[in-house]
Parts: sequence; C-alpha cells; structure tokens
Amino acid sequence: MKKFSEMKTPFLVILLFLGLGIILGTKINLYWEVILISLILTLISTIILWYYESQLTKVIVLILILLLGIMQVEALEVEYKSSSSITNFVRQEVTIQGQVLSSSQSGAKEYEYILEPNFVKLDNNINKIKYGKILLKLRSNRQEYKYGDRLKIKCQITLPPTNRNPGGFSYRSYLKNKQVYALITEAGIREIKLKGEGGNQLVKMILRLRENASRIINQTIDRPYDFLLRGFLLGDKEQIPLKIQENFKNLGLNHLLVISGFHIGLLILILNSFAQGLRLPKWIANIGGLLLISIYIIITKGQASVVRAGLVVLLYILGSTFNRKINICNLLSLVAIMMLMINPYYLFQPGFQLSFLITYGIIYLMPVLKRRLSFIPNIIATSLAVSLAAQLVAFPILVYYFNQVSLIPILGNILVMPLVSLIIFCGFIAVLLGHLHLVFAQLLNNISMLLIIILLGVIDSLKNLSFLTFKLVKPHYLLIALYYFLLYQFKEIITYNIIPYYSRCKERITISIMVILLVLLLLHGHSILNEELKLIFLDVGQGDAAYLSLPTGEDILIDGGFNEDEMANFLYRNGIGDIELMIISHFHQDHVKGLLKVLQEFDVRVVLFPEPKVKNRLVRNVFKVLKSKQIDYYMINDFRKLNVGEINFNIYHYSGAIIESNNNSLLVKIDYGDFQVLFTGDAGREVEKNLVKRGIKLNSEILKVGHHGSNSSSSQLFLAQVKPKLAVISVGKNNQYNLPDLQVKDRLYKIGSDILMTKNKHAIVIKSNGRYYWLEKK
Amino acid sequence: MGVLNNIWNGFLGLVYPEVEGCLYCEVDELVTDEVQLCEDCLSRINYITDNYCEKCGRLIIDEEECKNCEEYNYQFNKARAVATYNQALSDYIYDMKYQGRQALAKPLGQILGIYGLEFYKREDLDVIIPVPLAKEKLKTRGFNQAYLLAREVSKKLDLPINDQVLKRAVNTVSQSKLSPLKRKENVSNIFYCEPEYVKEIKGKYVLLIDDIYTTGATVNECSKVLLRAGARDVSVLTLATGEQGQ
Repeated sequence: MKKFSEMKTPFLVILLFLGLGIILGTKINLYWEVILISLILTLISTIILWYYESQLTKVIVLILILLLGIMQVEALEVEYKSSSSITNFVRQEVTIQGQVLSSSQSGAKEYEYILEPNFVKLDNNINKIKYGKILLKLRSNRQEYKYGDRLKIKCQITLPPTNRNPGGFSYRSYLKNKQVYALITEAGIREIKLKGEGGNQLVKMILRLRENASRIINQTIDRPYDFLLRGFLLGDKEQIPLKIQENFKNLGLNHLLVISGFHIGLLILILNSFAQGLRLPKWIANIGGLLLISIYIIITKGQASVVRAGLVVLLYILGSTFNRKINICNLLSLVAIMMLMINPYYLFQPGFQLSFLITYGIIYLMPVLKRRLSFIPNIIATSLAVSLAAQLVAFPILVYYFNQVSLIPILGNILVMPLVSLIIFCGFIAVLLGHLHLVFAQLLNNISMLLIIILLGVIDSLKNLSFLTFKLVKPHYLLIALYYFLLYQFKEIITYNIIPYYSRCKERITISIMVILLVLLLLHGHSILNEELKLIFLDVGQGDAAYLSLPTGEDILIDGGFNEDEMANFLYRNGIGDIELMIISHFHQDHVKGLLKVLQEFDVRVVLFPEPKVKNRLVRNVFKVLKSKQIDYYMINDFRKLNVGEINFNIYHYSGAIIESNNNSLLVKIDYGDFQVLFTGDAGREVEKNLVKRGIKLNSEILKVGHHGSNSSSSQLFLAQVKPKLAVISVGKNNQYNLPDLQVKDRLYKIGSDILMTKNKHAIVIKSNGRYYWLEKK
Repeated sequence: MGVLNNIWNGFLGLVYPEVEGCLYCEVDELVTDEVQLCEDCLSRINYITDNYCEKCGRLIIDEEECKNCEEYNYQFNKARAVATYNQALSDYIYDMKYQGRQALAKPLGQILGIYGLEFYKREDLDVIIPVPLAKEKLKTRGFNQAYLLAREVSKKLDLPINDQVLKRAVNTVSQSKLSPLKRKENVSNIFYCEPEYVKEIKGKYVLLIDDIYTTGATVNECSKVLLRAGARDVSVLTLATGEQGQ
C-alpha cells in the first residue's frame, strides 16, 4: 500500500473517509462517550504505530478520520439538543437579543434575516444562547435591517416545518444543515426594537462595496436586466423574475446563476492582465489576487460555492509561489475537507455535491472525451467534452434531488457559456470603472445589456427543445453506485491506448455485466424476502390519499388528494415509477385531482372507480388521459374481489339508489392474514347501514374514517361492526368545515379506537407482516 | 526548528505532492498509474500490432513471407516483439543499459508483460528465462537488462524466473558491432546449461526474454541449448525487433 506521501491525491482518500464517517454519523446513533473513547484509543494507537513505523499506520489514520466524521455529526446533534440551544425556547413567549448576520430580500414582499441570538429572556430568566441561529422573516413594510444591527424581539419562536410526506422537502432539516435551528415569522412577532449597531467594521466596509456595485448596476441597466447582471456578478438570484429563473432551471442551466470557480477565474484573469499591463511584479499580483478573492467571498455573502472556488484558487496561488506541482484534484479535496470540518452537513447539500463531483468529473473524463471528439475543431471539441463530462457526472445527483434531467445543457452550454463569460467580464470591469465615473459603467453595461438580451433570446429558443428534458423517479442508492462504477469502466474502455493490448476491454465488459446482474439481484432479492405490507396515509391537506406497497412489490394508490402535484411528487421522491392499481373512491376533487398528474406522468396499469354520476370537467379530464394513454379501467357497480399474492381486495359499492354523490364511493377492504384495513371514501350512513345489512364482514384493525371525520358518516352501528383499533382521519389543518366532527371522535373513542389525524401527524406510515401491525417513523 | 521544518515540509508534500513523472523525460505527467512513462515517450515507440511474421515476430512489409525464417531454421516455437527498433526505443534501451538508468527496465518490462499476456497463455508456460550475460560483463555493468525485463514479465504473467540454468560462457564481442553473418558465428556454442540446474527445465515450456532481437541468432542459440538440455518447448519475447529485410 502506498504511503500518504507517495500518493498523487492523498486528500481525496481522506475526504472519502471523512465523508463516510459523516454519513455513518447521521445513520447510527452512538453515545457521545463511546465515540470519544474510541477516538482517543485510535489516536493513541496511531501514535504508537507511527512511532514503530508500522505499515498499519495509514489504516489506523483513516479509521481515525472516519471516527472524526462520526463525531462531528454527533457533536452537532448534542449541540442541537443542549440546554444552551435555541431549540429549548420554541413555542413560548420570549424576548430575544441578537445580531443580524445577513439579510436578503426573498421575493417582492419579504425580507429574510439570519439572526445570531445572544440572550433569550423567558419568565424573567435570562439565558445565554450558544447554539443555533434564527431565521427571521419580515414583511417588506417593516423597517429594513442590515448586517450588524442588534435587535430586541418580543416574539414566539417556532421550529421550521418538517416534511409532510416521506421523501418530501423538510424545511427544518434544510435550515438545520445551515445551522439555523429556529424560525420567527411575522405571525409570532409582538415587537421589534433596534438596540444598536455592532458587527465587524471590515465586513461592513466590504458590504458597502456590494451596495455600491448594486447601485451602479441599478443606475446603468434597465429592469429586469439589472437583476440578471446582479445575479451573475453578486449571486443575487432571488430578485431575478421567477419566469426567467424557471427557464434556467427547466433547461438544466441553473448552474449559470450560481457563482463558481469560473467567476473567480475571470476575476483573477482581469487582475493579472492589469498587473501585466502595469508591469507589476508577480508577487504583488498574487497578493492582490488573494485580497480580491477574500473581498469577493464577503461581497457574495459567503456563499458556499464562492468559498469553495476561492479557496481552491487561493491554494493554487500559494502552490505556485512555493514552486510546487499542483494537482487540482488534491486541492479540491482539501477544500472539501476544510468545508466539512466547518459544517459536516454541507455533504448533504446538492450544490456542494454537484460542484465537487462536476469538477472531479471534468478533470477525469474531459481528456478522454476530447480525444474521442478530435474529429471536430479543437475549441468546440474541448467545450463539448467539458459539457458532456459535467453532465455525465451530474446526472444521478440531478435525478436524485430534482427528479429531472435535461440533455439540453450538453449543447446549450456551448452556446450560452461564451455569452455568460462576456457578460460577467464586462460586468466586473463596468462595476470597477463605475467607481471612477458612471459613464464608463454606462458604456460597458450597454454592451452587457445587449448580451443579456441575446442570452435570454437563446434561452427562449432552447425552450423549443424541451422534449430533451426528462422526469425520472428517485433512484435507489445501489443504482447510483452502479452508475458511477459503469462510468468508470466506460472511461477505461473508451480511453485511447498508446500501448496496444493494454486495455482489457473484454474483461471490463464482463465485469460490468456481472456487477449489473449483482445489483439487479440485490434489488430484487430484497423484494423476494420482503413480507411487509406498507400503508401510507399521505398528508395532502384537506383530502384523501393513500399509498400501499404490497410485499410482492406492487404499488397501489387509493385516491390522490386535491393538490395537483403532491401525489406525483411523493411518487417521484420515493422512486415509485409504476402503479399497478389505482382506485378512485369517487369523483370529488379532494380525492381525484392529484391523481391526474400521476395518470399523465407515470405507468398506471389498472384503474378502478365507480360509474361517475355527473360528467364534469374533472371526470372528462380523467377519461381523456385514460383513453390517450390506453390505460385499462373498470367501473364497479356492485362487488369485486381481487387477489394479489396473499392479499385480498374486496371492493363494495352501494346497492341502493344514489341521491347524495358521496354515497357513490367505493369501499375497499384489504385483508392480509390477520390484518385488515377498510377505506370508506366519503360514503355516508346510508351506505354504512346497507353494508351492515348485507352481512359483510367489516371487522378491521385500521379504518380510514369516512368523509374526513364528518358526522354524516361513521354511524355507531357501522363502527360497532368494524371495531377498528386505529382510526385514521385524513383531514387538513384549519379546514373550513371544522372537521373532524367531535361526535365522530367521541364515537370512535367509545369503541376503544385510537385516532390519528394527518393534520397533526402529517403522513401516517403503517407496516404489517400479516399478523400484527406497527407504526413507522417517517 | 528542525521538527517544525519537517512538519512544514510534510504538510507541503500532502497539499502539493511531488509525484514522480516520466522515468525517461522526467518532465511530463503519467497517463496510467501502471507504466511510468509519459504519453509522449510512450507514443514514440513504434508498436507492432499486425503484419508481423507468425514465426519470428518481425514486421513484414510488401512481402508474402518472412525471408529470415526461410534462411534460418529457428529452433524456438515462436518469437514476438513489442516494437520495431526505432530511434526512440533504441534511446530508451541504450539509456537503460549504458547510462546507468536501469530504472527504465521497469516500464519497458511492464510493456513487455502486456505483450506477453496478449500473445502467450499463462497455462501454456512453466518458466521464464532471461538471456544471460557473461560473468565479466555482469560485473562491469552491474545488472543483466534481460533479467530486469524478465522480472516485470514474471510479475505480469505470474510465472517463476530461472536465471541459474542458462549461462553464457565467454565474453563475446557485442553483437551490435557485427555484420549479420558474423553474428551467428559469434554466438555459436557460447551458451550452456548448468548441469546441476538442468532438471529444473526438463520437460518444461520456457519463455525466453531479451531486449533486442535482430537476426534471431542469440535467442536461437539459447533455444538450441535449452532444448538439448531437455526443455519441451521454447518461446521468445523481446522488446525490439527489426523490420524484415533490415
């Protein structure tokens, strides 16, 4: 095994182990003391092994790094829960004293501030806060605050909302990853007072530079192009018109709106050409470069992407001053390690992952791809190779986080990149010269504006290629690993070999096929051994939506809620692409509307529903999709029994005359061994009576309570037959009907049933093995 | 201060590692981790991939058959070579042999091994034998380049080396200074097998390794001796060969 000092990229190995440690840290829950003791033990053994120059030193050092990663995460968890964390004071009337760390406008009507709390006063006790920042959201009609302002706020602090459904976006973890633990919204505020001014004078000065730059741009370019230029130069994405932002996002060109190494590179280029023009010595240019980078990092408010790029360039300059060979991969890894030491949760931010992976990918894949593209002119081949390499590496991350990939950037980058670099180049110089006199800025910004107009034109025409954008469900971890393995093999296979017979193409292909088979086996083997039925009552606000995953792997939906996207997003976020069975209880918007997108964008095998009594637009839309996608559907008017493996579906429909449209609901009873679930849609008492009269065995462990807990359903007679252990009420927070009805809750409690409501619990996840059931954490 | 200096240097070494570059030009970076020569130095070698003689491995141009093989009655089974003996390869071999840069034997041997894997099956061979040097020459040069090459091939093919059995008796004039006809004379009867080791090659399939194959006289003599001593079969692998008719 090579020693660290003999490796080309020692920090890449260290980064891998640190990252692994951080991932482990979030997965396992060890006692803090256990980790500390093992850390000390490893440290001691490292020193002993090192002293005896043992071969094992490297291994033990790597283990040490792994433990460090775990410990970092655990330490943050301890901080989060500690008595001096801001999380101790949520949902209480408190007075906070704190200082504004940063401010930004989010949208037209809201300002967001990051507040560093110093003291919290609760019931006349003053508590010092050490851990956790606060996000303060204020309407724009309030006074505007700036960096360094000391505020005293009487308010109620809340925890940010978590994800409502499995796999959904959790604002709480998103903010927690940025070490923001609590939220103050307009609704919780009693009083804000500006108590004084603090903060670092240097930072304030640099932030004033930012304001100046903003002002120069504002005065010399028309709306909305000034927003774009500010986005390109200062990273102010928020104010760019949403429609333009959407365009960038949908075309997969979002990276253009993020400040990256590219900007820093351009800045250094401008600086160096000035320095050369003035015949300044190299070291002055270098020091100037370091200063410029530091200032730029503060101007862009310390965005992670700028810090990363800045540090890499900084190390590059240092390396060349010391006359050392430079390996970008190694420097990049060192920067990643430094950033993870500051905040290990960076590892889980898509921006962090993308920026590092893409840079590695370009270094690794670009030369090979370029050689293969050598039949086209060099400049085009280079940019195409860069663009392709970036896209190939980013692909799994994009699918994993955004469920969408686009082939447009491969070509789009080549069209757009030169424009963007020119815009940024002119923009930087305009802002610099604008400090002398606005006329210079005006002159250059006229060019920038023209370029921006052209850029937007190009983007608009690229929109015609939107068929090159694909929506994909979240892939399994194993598939992502497989993808990167195959990418590695692919690179080796297409590498141009100088030494004949060197590449062992056949062997590589054989290995690849074997690994593919192994992964497929692992993915399917899992479902063979699985005997769990998974049932999720989704939180879709006021409405009904449930998802079932059978032990045999089938995915089933029963209703889809009112919101058009929520059900589809849930499926995307959980990697569910095929729906074997969809049951529509009845054609009311709060049950069907969310299913339309599912029918359009997913593979749905069979759909069951009652014969619709009214032909409104919703019904027509459903039928239109069913016909155009040729999906099998059956209308059920009486009783239908379905068996899937060990699981029976009994579907009932009211046999009397239907006057009230809710009574046109299908009732679904699912039997899996000793475990039963009953879904009653919105069916009313009349239907319930009818079912009891027909002598149907209704006894179920879990009841999805009829009509969101309305008093028109769940009659005593019916509940006595069902005897649920757990009643689930699918109902929205603060709904206008005041559901669930108190009498219904009473009746349920009387027969000894537990009640869970989606409005409090969000999604309710239940698993059963056919003998008993249990509630699962999301 | 020394300690601090050490730590500082160690740190610099981690951040900006000094990685060895190409062993020949010592400037450019490597293309593969396996062979320690850079892209430029590797691509200057004129590799033989087709149009070679099935028997002796030399490049055939504009001819139906290989003339050398007609003239000679080669004793070995077949011979293969990596490349023709062009300026670049002769520079590498010269530097390796006479400029004390025997480290070059490693990458060159690795390339030889890659060819070995392509043209010979491990299962069909038993032992690798480098063409020996005479004792005096070994003393003055300090190493046998064929042995250094053979060592890399043996790693690649996972076969043992035997450099005890085949010996060179007298210090002959260097082959390169002689005309083709004289070469045959020069090497005849100068190789022999050490009797105490002969049993180690009895009935064995041998792979003979040398740096340069010109007329095939040297390896042919070696083959004769080995076969006489009881080897079952001899194959040859060399780094450089001439073009047919040269």
